Amino acid sequence: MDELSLLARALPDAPPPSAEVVEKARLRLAGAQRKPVRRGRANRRGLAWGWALGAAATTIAVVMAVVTLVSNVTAVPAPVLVPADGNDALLRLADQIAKLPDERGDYWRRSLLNNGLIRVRAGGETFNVLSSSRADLWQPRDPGDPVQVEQWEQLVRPATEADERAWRAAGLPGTVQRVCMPGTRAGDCAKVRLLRSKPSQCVYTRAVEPGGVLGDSRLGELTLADLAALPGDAEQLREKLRTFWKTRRDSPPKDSFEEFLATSSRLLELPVKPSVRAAALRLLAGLPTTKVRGSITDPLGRPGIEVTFIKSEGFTAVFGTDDEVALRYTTILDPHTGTVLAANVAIAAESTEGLAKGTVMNYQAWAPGAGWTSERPERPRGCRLSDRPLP
Amino acid sequence: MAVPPDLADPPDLRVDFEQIFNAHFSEIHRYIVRRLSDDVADDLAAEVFVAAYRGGYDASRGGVRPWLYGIATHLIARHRRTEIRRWKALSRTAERAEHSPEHSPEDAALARVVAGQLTGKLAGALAGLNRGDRDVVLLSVLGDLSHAEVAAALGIPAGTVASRLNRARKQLRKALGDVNPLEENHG
Repeated sequence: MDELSLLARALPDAPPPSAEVVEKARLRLAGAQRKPVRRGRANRRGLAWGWALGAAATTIAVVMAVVTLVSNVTAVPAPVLVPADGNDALLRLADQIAKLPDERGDYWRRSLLNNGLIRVRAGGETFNVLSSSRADLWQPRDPGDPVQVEQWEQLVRPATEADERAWRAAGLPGTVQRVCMPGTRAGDCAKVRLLRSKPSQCVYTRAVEPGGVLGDSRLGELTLADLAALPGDAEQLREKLRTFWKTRRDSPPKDSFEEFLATSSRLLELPVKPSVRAAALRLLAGLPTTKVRGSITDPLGRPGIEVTFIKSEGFTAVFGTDDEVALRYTTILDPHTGTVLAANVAIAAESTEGLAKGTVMNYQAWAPGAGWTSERPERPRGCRLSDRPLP
Repeated sequence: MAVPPDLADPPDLRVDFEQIFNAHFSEIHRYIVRRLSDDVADDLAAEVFVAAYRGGYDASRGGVRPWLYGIATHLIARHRRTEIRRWKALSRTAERAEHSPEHSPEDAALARVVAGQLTGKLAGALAGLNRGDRDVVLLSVLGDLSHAEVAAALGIPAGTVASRLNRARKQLRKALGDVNPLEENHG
């Protein structure tokens, strides 16, 4: 007997659908039939879905307008990227950055936008909303000054113009239902409130950090003084990182030194001198795990260099009813300063409903103007003081 | 005045579509239930027909059944993990039934045990197949589609269908191991 006929007999059968299920499906189809179908639509469906990299720029323009920060970073011309050179682009970038002057200021300020798409449903329409929250960090040069962290819900709004149209067709609802995987308990599939005008739900912390230890401890418990003492030479930096690796809290370290080195791209997210950033880029360029993927426009519409420092492919996430959308993660660097424009950029590696392949599903973008400033943080108005540390 | 093609009136697909729905909804629903579950199938089967209507039927690409099965398979792909969980669960349940101490010596019960044993091993093997191979196997087995129809449903060459089926057959045979279905059948 053939394996396939055996399989046909061995798998459990299913009863026919109930009359109610058939009727509901028929109504849904009738609903779709009331909307006009244009000839050739099937071919263009892919374009109507989701939110491609380039289109993101318009969406985020609102956020850009809100975030106006003073920058004292001196711009240099962007290095020309030739993909055939592979990681040489990072070496050329390093050469340019090394010439940048050290920055001055009492505070290092960094605004992060945590943005992501959510699949929602309302009034018979299914569409995507973009949810954006912002976290501002004020890190003092003098450890006797307070560290301030401020978090806002920036906006929740239809992600693209097509989503905006669907939202209008749904009757401009203020609250929409999140679309979840079948079988998700109602309590775990919360409604989403749209937030289109002003930021809300602000919380902040403001306190002197004992010992001046930085909040970002991914490379170890470091202070600004530790960062200031880092060498501007790639080989010396590698040896310095070895001491970080050895003295990390989880000693004996779980990662090999090579694995730890691959994560040293985090230096690019810390207030280090341009010469140290240049050394970090030279070090990273020589690692087998580092891959320059070429020029890219970041989700805020800025030109950048796409690089992956650690494993990029093979990740999945839940989106709408899809329990396993394949994703790849990438980092986008500023081609002038080598700092991070966007990190943890999750790009759909396959198409699913509401999310076309190549669409950015979520990311963490650095708002323009991160860096040293002579400004000092004021206590934010309309913001609740949190008694817990903010991430 | 010339009308741009996009703005020309589309053909009225509604009448034909009702017939297509009436003829095939039940079997598409059954195919999805057998791969995923009842509650997912209720929703997904409806979605197959909405997507089919929106996409439009192109007779040059094969029959209506393969077309609908192809859309259903594409939508099922969004629930890969759910499907794999289902095959694994079926494999475990069937194995448990096999080792249950409440076996009755009656023939009917014995037949159930043998069937359970086969189901368990085959479901386990299905969970281990790669997505493309599993789609080809289940379109053939559950949808009763021919090689050519499976090829049309998935938009792949017929040769690829044949090689995927061969590879999957080998894995199923391996999973069956010492259970000889031929003997059980006649014994």
